[in-house]
Amino acid sequence: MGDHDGEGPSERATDGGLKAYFLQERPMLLRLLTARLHSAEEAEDVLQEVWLRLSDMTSAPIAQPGGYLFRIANNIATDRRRSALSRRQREQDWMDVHGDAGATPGAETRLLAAERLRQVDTTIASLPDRTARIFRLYRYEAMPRRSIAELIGISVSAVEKHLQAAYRLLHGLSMQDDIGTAKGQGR
Amino acid sequence: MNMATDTVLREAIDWHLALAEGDSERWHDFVDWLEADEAHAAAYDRVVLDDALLGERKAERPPTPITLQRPIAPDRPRRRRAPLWGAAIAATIVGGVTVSTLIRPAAGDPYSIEAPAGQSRTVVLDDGTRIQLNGGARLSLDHTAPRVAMLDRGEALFSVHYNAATPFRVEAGGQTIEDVGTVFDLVAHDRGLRVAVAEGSVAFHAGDANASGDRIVLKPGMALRSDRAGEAVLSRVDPAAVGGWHRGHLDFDNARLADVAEELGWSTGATIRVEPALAERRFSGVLRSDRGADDAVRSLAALSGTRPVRTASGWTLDGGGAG
Repeated sequence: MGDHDGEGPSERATDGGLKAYFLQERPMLLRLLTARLHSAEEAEDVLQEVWLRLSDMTSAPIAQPGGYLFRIANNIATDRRRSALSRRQREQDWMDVHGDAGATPGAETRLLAAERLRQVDTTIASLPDRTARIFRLYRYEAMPRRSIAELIGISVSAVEKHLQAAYRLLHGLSMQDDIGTAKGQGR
Repeated sequence: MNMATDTVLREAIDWHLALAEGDSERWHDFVDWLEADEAHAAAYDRVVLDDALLGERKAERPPTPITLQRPIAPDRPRRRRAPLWGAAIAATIVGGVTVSTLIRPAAGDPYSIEAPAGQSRTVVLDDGTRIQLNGGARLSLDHTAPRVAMLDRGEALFSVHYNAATPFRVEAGGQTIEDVGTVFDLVAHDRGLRVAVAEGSVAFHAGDANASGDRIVLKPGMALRSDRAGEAVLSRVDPAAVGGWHRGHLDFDNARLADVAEELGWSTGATIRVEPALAERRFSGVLRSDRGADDAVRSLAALSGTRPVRTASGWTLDGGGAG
């Protein structure tokens, strides 16, 4: 499906421009949301929300409006997945024990989150120094890859390799042949 | 199969990183990938939801006791009593045990059981519930409330006989553990409690079980430390190692040195003090309590980088003279 105007001549838009982009990308946005939420109905719902957000937006010009729109839609989908999953998790945990509702909403999820963050800290601490530093800058300081590259004095694609390695380890994958061999294309 | 899962997960990670700065063409390709296989959306979910969690971390905050909601009413009724039909319950006590009557106004017919320092005790209740007390522990029970216990201090391993109608409840450190047929270890400190689950599951209540505080369901391999204010930290443990003190193995994970010393004292009977400046130092490791107090204290000192000094009453761990 790669036949759309990737980086159009003027990928920069104000809110009016964003709405035009929205209308143009609507079918693809809908596909994205349906695939993520497993529900055409909820996808339509999120699409509405994206549209409303665009209406509230100030008219500062935005680079890469296409990517921007998809990111908004995708982030809303992620939020919805999170609350759906934690709700289901809670119900499931409680059902396992009591076959009935009753565990305190939230508390258990928050504790599990705290435990996951502790695991992440341990994993990050076990990374090579440079990889750990890059990950922290990227994820906790929200520093763009280009800035990290400049700060550390390596290429942007090397920064990406480090991030890839860190994320792989966080998900229990081996990080072999990620660092150092900056050649092989990931996928 | 596993390989395939790993490959999909790798792809999901690559997409997640690529999309942060991707243009619309990238996103179109991503949609194609998502739609190609159910497993793709699931893997992407896993990556992106986990990452969203990291986003909540403010930079460099240490991890994170969370504060649990305790019940609101300050004048809680002491506890709801079980129906009197269980009045004839009696504890079978294995070994010589101190039994004394507690002064607890609201309770019907209370008694307590204490294990001397350095010696464990086993209590078997009429319903088959078995409670092993570590040295120095004190447990309060009540003949009129056979499914309620209070761990006043120390550590105990509970193997609870399940009864759907009347869950077994243990109070400790101002909080409540409600058990639904399981094996769990419980430590009561002045500051709060620690519970670890070996089998089955337990519900932890911040405060009284009958009131409206937070409740957390703990599964095998989960441990929870909570202080009286409701600050709680969840961690993972090896279910097989839960209650290991009973076999002479004390397993600590990131525990306060002062707590480690206290618990080692329970098992060995020794009085082990920790210099106040070192009390908050963290300790992880396994100590043997079945080779005598001296051996255990020296191991703890060596592993924690402290110096064991004999005192009239036992041991003190200090920082080592000038250093």
